[in-house]
Amino acid sequence: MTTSARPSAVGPTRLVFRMADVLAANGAAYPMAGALSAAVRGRHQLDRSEYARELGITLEQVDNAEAGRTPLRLLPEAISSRIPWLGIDLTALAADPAA
Amino acid sequence: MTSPDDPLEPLMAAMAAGDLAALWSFHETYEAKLRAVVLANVRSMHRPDIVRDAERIDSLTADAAMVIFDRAAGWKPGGAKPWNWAARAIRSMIAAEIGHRQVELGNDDTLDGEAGSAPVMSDADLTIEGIVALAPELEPLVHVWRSVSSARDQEAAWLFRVQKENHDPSPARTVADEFGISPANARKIHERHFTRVNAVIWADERYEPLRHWDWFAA
Repeated sequence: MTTSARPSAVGPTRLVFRMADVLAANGAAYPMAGALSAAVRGRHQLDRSEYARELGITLEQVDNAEAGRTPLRLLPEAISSRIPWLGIDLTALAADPAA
Repeated sequence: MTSPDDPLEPLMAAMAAGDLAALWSFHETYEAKLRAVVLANVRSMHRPDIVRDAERIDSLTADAAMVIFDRAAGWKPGGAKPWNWAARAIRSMIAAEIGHRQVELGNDDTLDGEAGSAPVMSDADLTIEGIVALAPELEPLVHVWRSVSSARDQEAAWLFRVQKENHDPSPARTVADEFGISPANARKIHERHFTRVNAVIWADERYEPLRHWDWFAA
């Protein structure tokens, strides 16, 4: 995973919002947390199993996080600690108070 | 075609299955391609203000990725690249996001003989059928336009012609971006199609009314 900052946060932030929209439309309780979790795995470009193994978490934790079933404060630390590296505007989290 | 190392096909398959992580990867991996398509569209819509607005382009580029995500299930591996395959949907999204411009069809000598009565059109009307809906006297144009080449060439030639009328500085590039072909090929398709249409119009009396339109006037 690259840890360099992106030149602009606008595109990635927009994309996270759109991903959260998809999860919200599917009835997710914590769509922004789910979108951020999916984005973290997207940054790794790994499938769920490889990703769970690499991060040392269970597949169930991955699925719950990415489906928006886990609030942001309860995400596995292995996921939440990687969110700052997405290069998004973190004030976007304010859009999802339930997160 | 994609190379064995190209992640495009697995990413498209994952997006087709609704995997949002794949959408993020797709955007990161192909952002430059998506941005080029967005910029070409915005330029062809004569919005230099938006072309210069990097944040707006970033935002439209993310939305273009979303357009492809929404349609990923319909993409066929080995076919056109997704950003070309979904070019029309991306263009529609951009038009909806930045607003429809209003353009005039350049036929002021028109079939009804009133100068200045050319129909005012929005992007949504710029299909051949859309134009005929506004100017029913042009209906024969649909017949002749649809009769002289393949469906793809008809659409490409039409887009080329409309972009030219709209003062697109490079209609060939716009058509090339939309259809996943080279600008030279776009030019060739337009020239071949238009020459055939023109020949039919001047050979067949049923199309006599079209001869007064400035596209075809001698």
